[in-house]
Amino acid sequence: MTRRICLLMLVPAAWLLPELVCAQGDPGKTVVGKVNVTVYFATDGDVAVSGAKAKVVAATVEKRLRTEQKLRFKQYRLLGEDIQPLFRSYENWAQPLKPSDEVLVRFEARSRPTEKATRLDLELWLSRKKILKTDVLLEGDRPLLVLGPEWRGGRLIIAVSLAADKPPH
Amino acid sequence: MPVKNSKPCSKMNTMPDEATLARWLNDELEGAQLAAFEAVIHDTAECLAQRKDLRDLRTTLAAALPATLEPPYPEFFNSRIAKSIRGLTSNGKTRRPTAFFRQVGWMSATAAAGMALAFWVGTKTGAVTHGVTLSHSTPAPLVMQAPAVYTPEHGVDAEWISGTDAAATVIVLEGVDAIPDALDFFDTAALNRTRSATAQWLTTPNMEML
Repeated sequence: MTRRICLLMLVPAAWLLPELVCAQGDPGKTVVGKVNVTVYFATDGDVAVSGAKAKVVAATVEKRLRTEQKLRFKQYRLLGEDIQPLFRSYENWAQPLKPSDEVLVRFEARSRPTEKATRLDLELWLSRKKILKTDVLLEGDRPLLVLGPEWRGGRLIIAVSLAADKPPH
Repeated sequence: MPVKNSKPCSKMNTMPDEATLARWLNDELEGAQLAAFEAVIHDTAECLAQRKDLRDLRTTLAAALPATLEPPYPEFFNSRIAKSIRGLTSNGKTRRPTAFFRQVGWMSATAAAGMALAFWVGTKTGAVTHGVTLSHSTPAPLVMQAPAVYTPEHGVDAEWISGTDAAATVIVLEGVDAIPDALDFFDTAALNRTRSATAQWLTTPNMEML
């Protein structure tokens, strides 16, 4: 009976042990934040070309985009988004248009993040080619907006921001 | 027959003091002092030759060197001078040099205090909160500045724009190949995202004000 109890206790220990060893052995894999990459379709023409499954963008997002003169279009649609963890010392990739790899964002923490801001080394890959490399300071209310390639008469806008841990109101 | 004016400077019958001789060699004697000195050495050829050599050397140096020359490492010299001034006590007396053992004692105390401080700082950093490791010490201020932008692809340009009221960092790419219109992204936006996937910047107070 005692042996059976010991075996039952060993099962969860064996399950947890590798993860604990991995986390303790490589602090570089510690998650220090989350990065959200969103792709919008912006056009002055017919927005229906983006497809029936493209989502309508929230009014607040539209207003935010329209405040930037270079990003001012008549219509916006949400094409896809991806949230990936930001590791302490490893790079990570976001693939907002899964399963397509047409738009990829590689990011890596450049300094220890604070509660409000994170400085990243960031690369934008389009059609499997590195198009842009930059270092950017991301704050909670200050995203990076990249006016990207043309598509179906409009432009793609790639937004990179910090993801909130808590659910929005 | 001995040559006139052949006495060396050091073997003059009436040997002037060295300070006066040096001043004469440097043409610093004047008036009666100069006349009296030259009356003594007027027949000393070596002294005259030495003075001529010195005059030639001064002329050569004056031609070769600039009229004014900044001293190298002025901060170093200034710090040395300031240190010397600090070494003087208020009554003008020079402070006695610190004893070696006293210096060693201060060094030990300073090293011990530094180690204690480093240990204390180490215990105060690295706390984990909600999966995010944050330093409790005051973080260095992150100054908003233009990001470095690099476009490795030939023909692609990137323009950085600060953004309206610093609400966003905007980069405009030009010259990028268009994505083929035949390419569809049917499966992307249709993915079932949770509400928590919403970007933080969409829900900030600034957004509510827009």
